Amino acid sequence: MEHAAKAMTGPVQLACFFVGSALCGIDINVIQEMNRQLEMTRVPQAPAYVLGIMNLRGRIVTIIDLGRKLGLAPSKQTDSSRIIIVNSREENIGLLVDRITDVVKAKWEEVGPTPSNIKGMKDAYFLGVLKASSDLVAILDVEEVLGDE
Amino acid sequence: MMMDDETLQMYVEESAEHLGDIENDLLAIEQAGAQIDEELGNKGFRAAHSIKGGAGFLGLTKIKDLGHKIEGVLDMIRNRELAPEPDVVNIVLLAFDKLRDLIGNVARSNDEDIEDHIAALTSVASHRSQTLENKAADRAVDIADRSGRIIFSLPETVLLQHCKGGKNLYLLEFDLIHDVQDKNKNPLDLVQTMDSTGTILDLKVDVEAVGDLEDGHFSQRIPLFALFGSIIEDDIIPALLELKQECIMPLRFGTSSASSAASADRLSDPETPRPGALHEGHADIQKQQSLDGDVAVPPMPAAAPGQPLSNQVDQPMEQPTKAGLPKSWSQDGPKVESRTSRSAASQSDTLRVHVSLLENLMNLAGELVLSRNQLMQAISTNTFHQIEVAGQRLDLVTSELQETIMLTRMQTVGNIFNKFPRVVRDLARNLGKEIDLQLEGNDVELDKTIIEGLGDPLTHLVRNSADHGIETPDERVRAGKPSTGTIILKAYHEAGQVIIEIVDDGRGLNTDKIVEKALARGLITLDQAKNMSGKEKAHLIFLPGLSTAEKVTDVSGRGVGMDVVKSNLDQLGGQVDIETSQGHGTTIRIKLPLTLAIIPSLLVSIGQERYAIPQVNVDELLRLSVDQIRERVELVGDAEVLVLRGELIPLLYLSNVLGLDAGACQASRMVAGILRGDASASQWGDEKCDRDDIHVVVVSAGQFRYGLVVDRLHDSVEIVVKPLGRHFKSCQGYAGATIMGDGHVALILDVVGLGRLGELGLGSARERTVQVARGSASDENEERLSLFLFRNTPQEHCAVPLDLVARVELVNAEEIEELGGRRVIKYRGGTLPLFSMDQAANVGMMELSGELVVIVFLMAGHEIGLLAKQPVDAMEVSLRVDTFTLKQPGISGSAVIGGNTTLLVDIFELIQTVQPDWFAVRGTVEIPDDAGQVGVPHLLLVEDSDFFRDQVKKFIEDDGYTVEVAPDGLVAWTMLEGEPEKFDLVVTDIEMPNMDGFELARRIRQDTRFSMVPIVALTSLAGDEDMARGKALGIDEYQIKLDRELLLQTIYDCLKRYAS
Repeated sequence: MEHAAKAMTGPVQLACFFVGSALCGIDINVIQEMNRQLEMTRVPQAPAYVLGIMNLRGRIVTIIDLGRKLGLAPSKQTDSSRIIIVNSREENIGLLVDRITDVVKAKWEEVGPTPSNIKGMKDAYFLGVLKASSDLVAILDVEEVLGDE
Repeated sequence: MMMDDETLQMYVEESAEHLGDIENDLLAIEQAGAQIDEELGNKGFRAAHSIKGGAGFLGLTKIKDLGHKIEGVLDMIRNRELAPEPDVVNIVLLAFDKLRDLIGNVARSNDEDIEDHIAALTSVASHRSQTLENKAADRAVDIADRSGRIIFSLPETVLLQHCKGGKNLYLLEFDLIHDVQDKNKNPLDLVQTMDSTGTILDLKVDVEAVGDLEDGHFSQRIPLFALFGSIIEDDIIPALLELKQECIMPLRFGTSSASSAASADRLSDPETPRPGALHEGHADIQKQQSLDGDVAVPPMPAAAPGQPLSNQVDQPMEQPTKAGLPKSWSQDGPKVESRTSRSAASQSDTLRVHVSLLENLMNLAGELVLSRNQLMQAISTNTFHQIEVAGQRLDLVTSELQETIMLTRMQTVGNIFNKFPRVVRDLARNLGKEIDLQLEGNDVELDKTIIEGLGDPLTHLVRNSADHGIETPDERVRAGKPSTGTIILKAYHEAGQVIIEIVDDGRGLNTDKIVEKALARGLITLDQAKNMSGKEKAHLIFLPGLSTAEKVTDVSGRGVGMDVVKSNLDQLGGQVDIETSQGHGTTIRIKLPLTLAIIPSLLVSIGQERYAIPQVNVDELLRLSVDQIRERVELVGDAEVLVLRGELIPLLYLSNVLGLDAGACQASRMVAGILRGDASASQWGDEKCDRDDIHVVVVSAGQFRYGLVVDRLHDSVEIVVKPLGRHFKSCQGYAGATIMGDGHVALILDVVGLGRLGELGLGSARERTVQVARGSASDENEERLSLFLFRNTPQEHCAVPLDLVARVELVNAEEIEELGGRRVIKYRGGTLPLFSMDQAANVGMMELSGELVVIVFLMAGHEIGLLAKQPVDAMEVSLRVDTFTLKQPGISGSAVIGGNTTLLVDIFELIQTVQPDWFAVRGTVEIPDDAGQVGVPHLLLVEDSDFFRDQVKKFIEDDGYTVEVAPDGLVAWTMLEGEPEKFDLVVTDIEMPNMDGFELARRIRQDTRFSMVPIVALTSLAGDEDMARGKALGIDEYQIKLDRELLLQTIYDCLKRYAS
């Protein structure tokens, strides 16, 4: 999946957020919206990383615990938790993250390859790593993360 | 290829429409044969023509070529040059299929290979014309100039050949002097020019025209006539050949109408340029061709249908056809008829909606805006009343809007029905059968999704009917049926559902074979098989892996089909039924909900979460108190079942199945506690639970039927089904989710999925019922008895044979009076003596308080009542009676019923013990036997129920008789025949296997040996008819089970009567 980053060029804007202690980013083109409403309905028997479903203006949106999906500890829902709604295969899916930070402007060419053991998460989930000011933003491959298993 | 997406899309849609009816039209043309329906022929031609035209315009070469070829063949067919024989129609159908494919994949269409189709079409077309030519070989056609003088005469075939392929035929008149010599040309040059641009069919110098020297008028010209065939249009010929327009005469083959008209044409004014006519007397029906270069208008799309094309009677095939194809097709745009009908493309992303519906929607949208404005205003002025009014209006408008939008999704079932004529036709051909398909109810409407989902299952079912159902013509004739089988596809509305039936008059299903196969495959057990009704056996065909086809044909037989059909239909919320009659046919009935998107459902909750259960799955709602739980919930193995009117329904705790947390499992713990017989269980009801009732929703879907235990029941609401995302694929228990009025999300439960999660196997509920009913051992000594169950004390389970029970009444303890040492109660204008079991047997004392049950029996012609406690139930059980262990006066034995040891009450004995003086003392009738010796009467008791037989035998013996027994009429008859002298009286049941009581009686009466033997019938069949029948057959006395005293008295009386 790192090849994908190499193949892309041009400017990119990344919405950055924290999942646990990991700073991640998603191309804003993939993001539909972000919201604070955390009220959701549990779905018993669903996979563990699925927190539940939510009513988004009349549509049913699956909410996924991004931390858990990435292989980190299950997220706690705090005041700073947010849900990032992304568009994936004609479906809206929500990712629960711990804290949202800025939108970073960069170029794809500046994105470096993902280190193989990036903070304990599967490197397949990432398109690459960007250095932004003093931090390292791991760019998420949303489709990969949202893979069914 | 510059294609504008939108134009392309439009083209595709319009072409799809053209192609929509083509199949059926072609089939109709095929059917009509020689009596071709012009309009259909034209329609087909126009369709191909338009598609071709558009394709040319858009640069879709393959589509254009194929369309062109099809058009040609269709033209021949509609002109009756080509007979629409099945082979020909097949080729055209296949070509249209390919065309459909190409249009479906329009972007890649130019890369497709259509050679096969082109070749087939070409050969069809040319073969025909070959044949035509052969037939027309002898005929010669005269070609005349304007004055009617015949210049050339050529065989028709040659002419036809040159007319093919878009070539035009001209009669050219050159003047050798003016056109050639004067212009310094060589005749040879002329010939060469013509040769290079076409074909010269014939050439002639018209010497006659010159006149001869004797004539006097010496012509200034030497005409050279040429019969020239070329693709060059007639507006170019003058320039090409340097010839004046009036010397060029385009020729047309016309189709005939009145020949007089033809000649009239020919003789018309030579100044008016007229296409030359052929001598055969065919009128030219072509529109006026003005020779100043106007484009010939293709007669079809714009022409009025009334063109002379249509009035032909019985055209023999030899008639020559119009030359070539209309020239200017490439200049026509795609001719499209605008339709507002609802023929929507299935499986496509677009939908056709009736204009009136859209207008409705527009209106409603307007109303909605008004209502909203009203509401906004009301809110701003904060007047509650106005807000209410506006709210109401908004409510109404929204509902109507919703309904109307739903209607837009409704399509007619005809959309899928329409493809079946072709399917059936092809199938019939392939299988060598004759099948007539009838469609009914094409206008019935269903939701779009359901229509789409129906296609596959229906196809499968129809193919099955054709393949396995309908027999070959020979077989049918042998069976006395007409050689053509009939399949009827019917759709209609009933009770809020849409029913689709597939009826065939074929050979029906062999249910025995189905059961065999199912057994062989281990899909059902022998027990199950024995208990199945005919319908259930037929229903087995939906089990996976079951195919009773002798061989696997291409069409069906792999055993994968029917279960897929069923699951497809299940997904649509439909149910399917099979009715079959071997030798006569099969009817498959599919019931479908009108719409998928909005369904009425029941809201339930576990803890704080709400769930919706589709109403269609909900059978009953029950609320069980702690007491009722004890009584009606039993433990079968380790599973809890609810006893509901004799049926055992497995209980599933929603919280358990979904794995919700322990807090929500109160109900299950409570019930478990009760079932264990926890003495403190009743305390659960008071202290430990918030409520002591459990709520059970009895649900069913497909083969599942079970009771779902939930915390609370809420309303029934109509909900919009929204699908769950892809991450929930593995969740079996849900059918979707919905957003409720308050914005919260509720999951919609899938009854079948939950059943699976709860590990209820297919049909296991029934199995369990049967199992438990039969007790855990399947023993031959067991028999089925109908019992009335009651309690003596709350802990003592008791039962009496249901047959003995005359009535059951509920009384209040206060109504019981004690008179003369006996308990009685006023009853139906009289007094009913009451007894309780403790009066005879060592059982608990009957507590006379509150509500009591009185079981009324008939005893010696009188009614008596037995006191009992609730709960009561009636059950058919198969049990083994233990007549030893708990035997007591008044208790004939015991059995284990539903896990409880139950005392079987012998009511006679009980009463006899308590009131011996009620029972008449009879002497024994002494019957002298043949030897003159007095002996004890010998009775033959015929009764199939072991239990009854033993009972009755006992009390007859008690009365002093000798009794022998037989389990059915046949055995009894054998015994009688074996020793004709032995028996003095026969007491017989009526309903027995092998030989029933009526038959036995008949035989006895017909045999003079037994004329002195009275027959007493003992039966539960109490109808007048039965009694009359019995009497007619010679039964002396007809006794209803079971008034013991009465029976004994009757026996006594009968014997007495006969002895004297």
